[in-house]
Amino acid sequence: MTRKPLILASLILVCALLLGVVGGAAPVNAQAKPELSIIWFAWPPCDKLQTLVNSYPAATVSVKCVPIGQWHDTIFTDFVAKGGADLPILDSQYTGEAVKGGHLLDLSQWMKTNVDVDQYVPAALAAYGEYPPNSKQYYGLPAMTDVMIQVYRKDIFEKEGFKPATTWTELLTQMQKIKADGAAPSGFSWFWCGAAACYDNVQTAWNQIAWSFGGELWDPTTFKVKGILDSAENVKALRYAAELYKTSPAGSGNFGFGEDVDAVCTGKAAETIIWVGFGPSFTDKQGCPQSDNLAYAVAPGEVKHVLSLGGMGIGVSSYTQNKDASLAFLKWFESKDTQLEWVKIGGYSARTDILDSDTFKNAATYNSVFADSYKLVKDFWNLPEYNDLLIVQGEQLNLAITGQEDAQIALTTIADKQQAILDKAYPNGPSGLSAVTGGEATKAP
Amino acid sequence: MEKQLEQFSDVNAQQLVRPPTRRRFRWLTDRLLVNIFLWPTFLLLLFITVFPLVWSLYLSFTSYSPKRDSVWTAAPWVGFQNYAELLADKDIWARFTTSAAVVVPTVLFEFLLGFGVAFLFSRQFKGRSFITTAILIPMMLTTVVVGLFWRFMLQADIGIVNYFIHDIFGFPAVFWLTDTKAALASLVLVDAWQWTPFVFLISLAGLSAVPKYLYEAAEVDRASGWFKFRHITLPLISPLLLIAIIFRLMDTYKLFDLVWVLTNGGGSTNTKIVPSYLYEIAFGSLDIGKASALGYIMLVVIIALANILVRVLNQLKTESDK
Repeated sequence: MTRKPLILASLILVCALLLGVVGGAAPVNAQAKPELSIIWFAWPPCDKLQTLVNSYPAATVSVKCVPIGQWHDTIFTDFVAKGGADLPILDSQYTGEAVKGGHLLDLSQWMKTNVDVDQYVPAALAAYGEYPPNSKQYYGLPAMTDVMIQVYRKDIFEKEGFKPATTWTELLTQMQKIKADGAAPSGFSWFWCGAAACYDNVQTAWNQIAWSFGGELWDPTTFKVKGILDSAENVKALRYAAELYKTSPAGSGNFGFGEDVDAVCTGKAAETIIWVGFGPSFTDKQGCPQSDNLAYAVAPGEVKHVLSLGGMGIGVSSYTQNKDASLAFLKWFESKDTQLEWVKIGGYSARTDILDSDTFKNAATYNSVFADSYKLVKDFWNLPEYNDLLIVQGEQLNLAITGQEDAQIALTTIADKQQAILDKAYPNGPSGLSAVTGGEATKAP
Repeated sequence: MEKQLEQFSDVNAQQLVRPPTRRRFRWLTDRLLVNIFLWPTFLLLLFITVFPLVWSLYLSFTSYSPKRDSVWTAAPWVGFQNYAELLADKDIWARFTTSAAVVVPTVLFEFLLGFGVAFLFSRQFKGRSFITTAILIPMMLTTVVVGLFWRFMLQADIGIVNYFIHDIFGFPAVFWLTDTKAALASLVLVDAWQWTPFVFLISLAGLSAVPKYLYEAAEVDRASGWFKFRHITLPLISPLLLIAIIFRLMDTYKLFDLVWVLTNGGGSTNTKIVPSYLYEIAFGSLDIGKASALGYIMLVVIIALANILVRVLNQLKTESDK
């Protein structure tokens, strides 16, 4: 090969590379729009959020929807690598872990001047971003509020002469009768899965039964679990859940949200109690053959009426390279106009002015049920150790509910293990709680 | 003429010793060229294999958790505390027992079935090549895909397996993925379905390599089929079989993806094996120090097991060489 073609080829290559660099850089300069990223788990609201943020004018925002089993792990391994999404959407239980690791910006001062703090349901502000509890230090704002509601087959209920149950005992009787009568192949379907990959499925399902039966998970003022979780009320609540499971589709012990929705939509089960966020899955006539036969009601209580708090908060990562743009987005997202758009397409707001609006009430058939239910919510631990506590609880609850372990033994095992986790982490009790700020969101956009 | 030849051979000799390199590349010696090609690869390998090994060993002696420590250097040195805690933990022993309950029957099943089928396929018959290729298909599939397919097939109410068991033959439905004992059996079944072809392939290669004249000689001596199998086939292919067992043992021991897909990580069924537990500690609890220690405990166990098998392998090789 002579030198000439070699030089010519080299020149072409260099020119191509230069053109690539210049060509790639040009649109960025032309747009001058920052790129922001949000991470959430894959469920209908995540797709809806992408639709909403497409209308945000000041930045290009992408929403990453990861499987629920990897949601926590993805966010926190990204945090460890000092990267990841600019705006992570965190479950309320993640707050302590994220704050203690210094992974989130402190929004306490910033939100006073940029967010209509007074418009929010106070419990929601605390649940989705406050740490330590009652400290008035906020690291997140509500992204999506949620609560579980009854989704039942009104055609079967009419035939059987039932009204939506107001107590868990009544619900069990109804489901047993539906199954015995053969009105549906099975009575009650639920997300009974207790494995790590199912995150908090069975835990949030059972917690509200336990609370309604008069039980508690722990004492947050003393960090005691023994003697509280393994109480007689909770044993009764767990035995109740095991009876309810018997009315479920065969082998539903590993059901997650997807399988639960399918069971009702395909007519395999007559009822479920599920997060409102899954509402669009039931109203979609294409995907849900039983859509027209479904109706919605507030989930039951027992001696008390308490429901699990769902929903998540959105925070700003300490490692974002777009701090100002992220805060500007957050301000836009939490504004009344955006929240109105959010509820129109299937999101749920924590703003009282939105929850009271006709726009919200008319946005979906179950929204009035949501409004009644959200007043009854209660959350559980948001400590950095929550994941360890959750795993222990999920495994044992599932074993007891599926009839593979006695309820008393399961609860004693959970109480022993959770107490050991808390004693190790907090030898001095709640006084050991502290926050590590990942920086302050001082600069208002 | 002789002088001309001498000059010619001198020139040739010079050309052999010194290639016609341009003057400006004279600095590029063979040694330097070797180093230029070798060191980047060597450093890369060091970085991606040896460094994590050493680093995780260091971390296993600390209580590093990104939840508590902002940087890994800030993690307190705890010596053998992680190891002591793990070895004293009842859960760990339960996880190792579960692992053994999966590994032993799986490898045994794969070995017996894989070798048995390979033995049948060691004779020529019509369509042998096609069926051999078809048998190998499961091993070419991604484990997650295999897990998802089987998850559907093993569903208690709509799965095809229970359709045959319950609807066709009238036996009680089996809760393959939710009952603790059945879930373990499901893991064994699915892993064996996917990896028996691997043992089959190795066994078939071994059987094909046995010299035919040995069998012919045995036939002349009117040796029975069992005698030929016991004294010719087995001694000659046992080293290969042992290699297949070592591979399957190591692979099944670190099985993670199939458990994750099939039984959701095995939390509430009795299928949480050591790798699933390690995942929970490392990525769920972010207790990196403890997870690293567990990783090393796993490593020691598998090295010990592999060592025993390699010794047996060497012994077999010595015997077959005699």
